Amino acid sequence: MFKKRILLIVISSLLALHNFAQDVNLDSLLDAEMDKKTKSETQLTEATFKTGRLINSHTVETAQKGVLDFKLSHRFSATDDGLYDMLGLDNAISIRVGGDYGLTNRLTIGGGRSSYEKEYDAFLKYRLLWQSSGKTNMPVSLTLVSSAMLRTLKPVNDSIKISTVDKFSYAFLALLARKFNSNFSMQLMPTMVINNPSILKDNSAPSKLLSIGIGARLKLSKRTGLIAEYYYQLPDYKLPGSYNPLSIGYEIETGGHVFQFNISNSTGITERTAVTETKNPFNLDNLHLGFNISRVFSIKKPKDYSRFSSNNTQALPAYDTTQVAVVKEKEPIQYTQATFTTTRLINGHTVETTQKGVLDLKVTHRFGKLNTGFYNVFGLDQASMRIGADYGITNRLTIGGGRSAGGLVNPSLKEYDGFIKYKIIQQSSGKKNVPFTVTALSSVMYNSLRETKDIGVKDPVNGGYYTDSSQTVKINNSDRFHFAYELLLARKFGDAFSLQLMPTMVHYNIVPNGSVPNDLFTIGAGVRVRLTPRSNLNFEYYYQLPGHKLPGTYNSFAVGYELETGGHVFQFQLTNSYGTTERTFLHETSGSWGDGDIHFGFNIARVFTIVKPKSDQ
Amino acid sequence: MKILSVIILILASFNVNAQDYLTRNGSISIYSHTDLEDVKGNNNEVVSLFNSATGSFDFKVAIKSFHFVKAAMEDHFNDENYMETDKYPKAGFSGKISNMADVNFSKDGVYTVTVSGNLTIKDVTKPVTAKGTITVKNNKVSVQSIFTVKRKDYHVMGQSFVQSKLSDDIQITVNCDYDKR
Repeated sequence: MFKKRILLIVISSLLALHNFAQDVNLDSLLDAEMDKKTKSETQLTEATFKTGRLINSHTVETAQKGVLDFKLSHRFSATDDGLYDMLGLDNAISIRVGGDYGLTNRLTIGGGRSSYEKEYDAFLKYRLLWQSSGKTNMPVSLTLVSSAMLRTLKPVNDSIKISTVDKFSYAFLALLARKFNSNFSMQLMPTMVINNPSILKDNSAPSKLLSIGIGARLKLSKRTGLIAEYYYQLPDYKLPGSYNPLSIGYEIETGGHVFQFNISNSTGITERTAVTETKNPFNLDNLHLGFNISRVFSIKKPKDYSRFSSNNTQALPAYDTTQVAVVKEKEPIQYTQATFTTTRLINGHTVETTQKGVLDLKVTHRFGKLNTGFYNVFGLDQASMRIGADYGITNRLTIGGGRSAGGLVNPSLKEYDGFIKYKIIQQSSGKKNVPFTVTALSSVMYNSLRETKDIGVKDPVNGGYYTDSSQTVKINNSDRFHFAYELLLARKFGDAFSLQLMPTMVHYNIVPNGSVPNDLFTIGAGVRVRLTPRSNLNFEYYYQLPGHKLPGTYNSFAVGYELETGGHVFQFQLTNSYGTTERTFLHETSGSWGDGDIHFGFNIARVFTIVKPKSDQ
Repeated sequence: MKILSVIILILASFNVNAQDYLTRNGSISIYSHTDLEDVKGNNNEVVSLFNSATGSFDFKVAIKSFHFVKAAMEDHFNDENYMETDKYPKAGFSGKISNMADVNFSKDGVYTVTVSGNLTIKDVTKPVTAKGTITVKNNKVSVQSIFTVKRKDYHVMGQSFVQSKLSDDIQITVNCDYDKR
């Protein structure tokens, strides 16, 4: 009896438990499934490095199939002159424009051109081994690179003949890298550079140059990191008088781009110049700033969801950089937004002001003249630049400033500018009908060129200075200042077309002769024509009133193509003005369109939110 | 004795009709539509369980298993502005099919059902009710459902400049083929 009861209780509790035991723990089941998947497949290690270059050196990374990785690099002159030439930024020693294209995920073909010695380079890169875990365990990645470089710079002395064969150099690299964890990766780069023996100045210099490089990347956050690169040249296989290059950098990945800012004792970008021709040791007198920008473009769209490399970061969708607030339909007054895409048309300001709390970073370049021909890549080897920013104190009040340098186009131009801009009236429809937007602008420009008896210009190629002693320059402090006042008047005619008028007055404290007034008046006109939802065609013309012109100058006319994408506005333009401040482009345009004195240039604008808006807009 | 036998029989009877249906590779896709851009992501590694007697219906997904055609989109989906996958690697639903009795698992057909329960995405759990269909064919059972959730309810925010490219309403499509467990 007793035993039967126990038996029945046991059976019933087992049955009861059976009911409960049918509960499946989905959490652990999911974990088990994910684990099984990981073990059964080979996971290729992605993003050992963020892009195909560390600083100068190639990394094991190859471009994804069908993707073009556009690369732009700059190496500037030495920092030892301090802020006078913006830590060397006024003079670029070498600029390289190039691209890497992924034929397959493992095979990349690429090339480019550097302005230093006008060198063209082309390479082929193959990822032989790919670090992986899971089904197949491969501890390292191994990529082979083979590259050819051609110098096209004509010798100063025409009697020196160099055959084309001698202008070639070659480089062969084996890149061995390991991603230790998501934060740290390291690479070894045994490198061989071959020059043609006949061109070597010193006959005892070897033609085969061997070095072993080491590089590393340490992530600071998901998108930023520190990078470093050092090459040790084997003692009997280096050019006499050359030093080992050390470069340290900081990289940021954002919206399809990788930006790398670096400092180095080396000024070259290709293997030959960066590894074997470093002229100075790494010390405070010989540091050069530089940057690399990489941007990926998908040429062939991927077919499915699977990918091997997280290097394929495509463009983020674009947005209007004037940070248009979403206009609620219930509001009776519809304020006209985005008459123009950004606060500059081409050279001049537009009626647009920067949104409250937003910093709009501006980089502008004006290159040399197109009529300098293919040898100088139609002026691209010389540049005049401005870097600046506009900040929105309120939606109507903008404060801003910048610094311009004439670079090789005009070495005696080093100018700071500061301005304040107020939107007095805004075009609107609905309850209140206002046909125009009116913005007032007041700007001051300060020329910081050193007062010297001889105008000394730094020679970026060979170092040192060359002087132009035909001119004695005496600059009074008041002569350095110029002032500009503008009243900008614009109307947006629907989405397709906007028109602006810019009556302007520039005040010169000193003018070249008595017949030129100190207050120069100009009337400008600007037009924006929309081509697609993200691109426009812009025109800008400034007419200097008769009697208000400096001798030997022309009216400024510019044509621009503007593209808005992923937080940036890119404007590419052709203009006869090389200047980037009101004084220089309005009144000191010394070239004429008819003579082919046309400068290609670009503006880049990028907005950063400094103070977040309180309401959700 | 008699009472005990009755109890045993009752307990045993719970076993008869109770049938678990399980899948380890169900599919869930998410879709956002705006005039400017469509966002589509697919997850084919959904683990799901439902019980034909109690009507309980659960599924769990690993956020990393959502795949997008554009790598940048997938990258951003997992980052700190959207799903914060490092903090919240999984999402799930736990609920009940309210009219399970309407479904006859031994007869082929398409049955309309209503599911309600709690959907957990990131650190937010909210009640969700959706209509779906249970299809019985040749002893195979599959479940389909399409419902919409508001992403901001679950703190899936995104940066200011993507708001016009991302809809507030995200359409979730569930499509799972089950096996008897």
